[in-house]
Order: sequence, then structure tokens, then C-alpha cells
Amino acid sequence: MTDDSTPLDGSDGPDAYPTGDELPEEDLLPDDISPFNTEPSGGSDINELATTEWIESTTADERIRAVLKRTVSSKPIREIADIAAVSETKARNTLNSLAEEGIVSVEQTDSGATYRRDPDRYLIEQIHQVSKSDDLVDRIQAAKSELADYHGQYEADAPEEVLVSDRTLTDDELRDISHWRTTLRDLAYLRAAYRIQQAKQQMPASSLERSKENSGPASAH
Amino acid sequence: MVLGNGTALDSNAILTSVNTVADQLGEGFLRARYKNTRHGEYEDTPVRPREARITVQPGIYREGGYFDIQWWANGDYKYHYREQGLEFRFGCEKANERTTHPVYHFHPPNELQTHVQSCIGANHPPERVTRAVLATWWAAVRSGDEAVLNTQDGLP
Repeated sequence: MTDDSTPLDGSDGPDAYPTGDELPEEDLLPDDISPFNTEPSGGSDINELATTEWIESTTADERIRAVLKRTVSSKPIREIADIAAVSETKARNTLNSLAEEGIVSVEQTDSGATYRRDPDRYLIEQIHQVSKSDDLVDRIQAAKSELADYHGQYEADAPEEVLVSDRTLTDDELRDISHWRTTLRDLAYLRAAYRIQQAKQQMPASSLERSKENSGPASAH
Repeated sequence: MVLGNGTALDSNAILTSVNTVADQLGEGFLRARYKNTRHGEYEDTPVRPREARITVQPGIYREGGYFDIQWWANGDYKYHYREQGLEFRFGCEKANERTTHPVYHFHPPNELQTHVQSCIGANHPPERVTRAVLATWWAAVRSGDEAVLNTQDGLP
């Protein structure tokens, strides 16, 4: 049983590794960089070390935001605090102020409040990120062409049709389903982003200048 | 059994992992390229990427290596390291709950069919998982010995 990608082409086989022309002429030696404040060694608890490193390079608020961003189903404060390596009091205070900003959804349960990322807010952030691209029309065409491939190959309109059908999917077909769903979602994002760009073009020039000043470089934030 | 179990790729988590490698490695981070479609070529610009390929230096025995990184919407992930003559992987695969394989697993160097329990904690975000993977890689780079990648075997 294998769980990982089978090579699709030469770029994913065991022969895929950087060769001389991809690397600088002058070798970088291990002594030239110090990526970790505490040096890992054989026998050290890697997990603990990574956590220490994370704590040292971020604030508690940043870590809570990072954990919250991946919290799709509601979790109690204790769990979020534990993963973010912060105290429960700190997590509660930060999450409550993020809730006021609309970044967090809070649900009251019998055993206390639970928290998750606000799905609408997250969606809008993702679309805003895509709207910074300057080749949206090309990307939309590429997504449509990828979808057409799946429609043709599986003779189905939606990945769910294939999943509920009688056929047993191979690993590679299940990977197709994953990419099919990704393409469907991204096409929706790309189209929404295109509409945002169109809306921006309708704005007076002076307000566009202001919004440019406020937008930082592209990032995953 | 397949990573992601049919759920969509998580572009944002992939980009967060790339940023974490860049922050952590500094000069050791050479470049990142992205697959923005399933069968597309690697591109320099990420647009809803399906996979990131990061070139790092130095390597464990060689001058450099690749980290191929993917995250899925169900929280699964794959960190696949390759340099000439050596590869290993860290993965999280929720569908392994129905099998004898551990959900959080490590494929030791050049035994990619072997599933060893990974020490990386459950439900950790990309910022934390990426640092843990880099720490194991860095321990091997420092010692010039791939065997230390396995020292997590005995950990809880």
C-alpha cells in the first residue's frame, strides 16, 4: 500500500533533485547559517525544539491567529491554547477580540465557548489575495481546461458523482478528485477576484492610489 | 489510501509553509517554485498553488536539496525531501486511521514504503510542522548523518 504521489512525470521521481546549475557556484556550508537558536541533535525532542523556535520567532497573538486560521471546526479554548503554546487566559482574550473583528466565530455550548475561523471572512481574504494577480483571465482559462479534462475522463459533471458511483477508485483517481475539487473552488475564487478587479476599475483614480498604498506585497497572510 | 483523501489542496497552508522555511533558513532558502495546476510546469509565481518545491542549501551529503510541500483541506500534509541519492518524507494522512499505518508518519530515507510513527504533534499548524520538519533535516545536515532523522523513533 502506498499513500503518496506516484511519479506523474520526471519532475516527481526519485531523480528529482537539484543539480549543479540550480545551485550557486559557491557552496553554502552548515556553519554559514544558523536556522535554529537551539541546535537539534540526535535524541533531542524535535517537536519541543520546533515549538521553542516558534515561540521565539513569533508573538502569542501571531500564534493564536496561526492556529485559528486552520481551525475549521469549532474547538474549545484549551485545545487552541495548547496548539498555539499560550496560556488559556491569553487565548481567551485574543480570540474574543478577534471575534469582535469578525475573524473568529464563537459558539456557546453547554461546556463553554468554542471557536473557529469565520468561514466568510476567510473566503473573502482568499479572494482578495487572488485579486492581486495580473493574469486572471489566463488562470480562469487554465482552470476551465483542467475541469474539461476531468469531465471527459470521468464522464461526470461533479467529483461527488464519481465518489458515490459504484466504481472503485484507484489512488491516482482519488488524487484526481482532490485536484478536481481544488479546480472547482479556485475557478470560483478566480472569477470573484476578476469581478473585484473590474469593480476597482470603476473607482475614481484618487481612491485607487490610496488603496495601493495600503496593500502590502503578496503573501499568504 | 491517498493523502488528502479526495479533499481539495490547501494553497494558503502551502504558502504559509514556504514563508516559514524562508524565515527560518534565511540564506539557506534558495528559491520556491509552484505547481498551480495538476499537470502544469513549476512556476515562480504562486496562484492558488497545489504544491511548492523549495530549493534549500546545504544538503545532508550534497550541496542542496528540494522540499516538496503539500497541504490538504482535511489537514493532511506531505513534506518530501530529496537530494541526490537520498530522500525521506514526513506525512499526515487521516485516512490511515482505518489502517495499521500511523496517521502521523515518517518514511525513512530510501525506505519510502515503511511507515514509522512521526513525533510531530497532532493538529499542529503549518508554522509549527514546518519548523519540526526543518529541525530533523537540520540535525542530519549538521551531523552529516541521515540516521539522526530516525532518532524520533523512540519518542512518544
